[in-house]
Amino acid sequence: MTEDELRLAHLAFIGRLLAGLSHENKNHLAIINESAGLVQDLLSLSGKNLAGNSEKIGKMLNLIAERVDKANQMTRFLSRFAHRLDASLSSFSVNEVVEEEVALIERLARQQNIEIATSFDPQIPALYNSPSLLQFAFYGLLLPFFTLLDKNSTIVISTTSAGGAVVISALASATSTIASPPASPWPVDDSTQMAISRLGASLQAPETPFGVGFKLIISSLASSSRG
Amino acid sequence: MKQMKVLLVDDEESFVKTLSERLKMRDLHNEVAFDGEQAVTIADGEEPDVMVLDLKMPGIDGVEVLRRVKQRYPHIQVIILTGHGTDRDEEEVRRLGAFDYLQKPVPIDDLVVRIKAAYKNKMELTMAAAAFAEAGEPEMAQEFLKGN
Repeated sequence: MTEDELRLAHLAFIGRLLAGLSHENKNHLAIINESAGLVQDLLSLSGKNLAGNSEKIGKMLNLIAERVDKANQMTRFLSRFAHRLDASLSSFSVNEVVEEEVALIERLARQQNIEIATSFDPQIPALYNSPSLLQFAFYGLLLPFFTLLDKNSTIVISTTSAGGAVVISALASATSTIASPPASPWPVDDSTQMAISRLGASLQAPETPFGVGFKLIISSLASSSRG
Repeated sequence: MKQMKVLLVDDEESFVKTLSERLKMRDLHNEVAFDGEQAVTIADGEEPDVMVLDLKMPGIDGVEVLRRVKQRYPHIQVIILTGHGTDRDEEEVRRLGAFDYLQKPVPIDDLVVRIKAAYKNKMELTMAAAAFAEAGEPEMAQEFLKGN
């Protein structure tokens, strides 16, 4: 795996996430479009007598507001995600980086009927490293879950601190069902492995005897890495 | 006159229920399915005239639904309505026999026009097939039923 290949894999990851987000936002817009259209239909049908349809109109307006909120939140995540690329290294909150990545891949999980639950430790330290490369590596680490887990399973993603480092765990919940036995160590493709190495991070197996998942331990890069 | 049967398939329940209601207000009788399995089951039982189908759904996705439906019921006209549109997707679904390919969100009147066009196409193919069958040319009749 060369630097160029890693860069290409990273770009492909960004493209995949953006395509997923665009799909998600089109769905929100389609719901807003149909809900607003239905309100319009009801108003034109009922003329001045709105009483019979007021409940339905109220419901549609709530649905529009709810979808505008969701699309707005998604756009906020997208904006943050895009700005992660402004500088190759920066100081960032791991919780925010993981949170926005989870939001951007939730649809992929839903397609597989898999839920993602999160539990973030608010006390973890900010890190100086590459947030975009961390998102790329974390995505590569999450992908095996989608083939290992059966539908109706849950991936629990959490963060904790350990010394100056941050531990990001992703584990199948106890109620999850495993479609195929997980590889040991956790399956990692070449580009993800290279990204982990560039981040100065390390991968550990979960401590629970039958745990399915991984722990990624990441620290700030040494000052010599600071350009 | 026979009433047109439309099947709407999308995993976004809010979207498909609202769309269903708006189409009913425009006198287009329809049913809804929230995933691919349900869509295939309804197609097996009801044989809709026109199916409006999302591509990305949990379980059996839209491409697979299209493939199965066209294999079993080639005369059902399928309109893809998706938020995940790539040129490659469009090329593939057209190759598999989709009647049309639309991007979300779509104005309701445009969708109604396309559904009616799909139904008209189905009726023309069915009538042509019946004429060939009556003329003792079952192979040609089959070709028309396949939409060729």
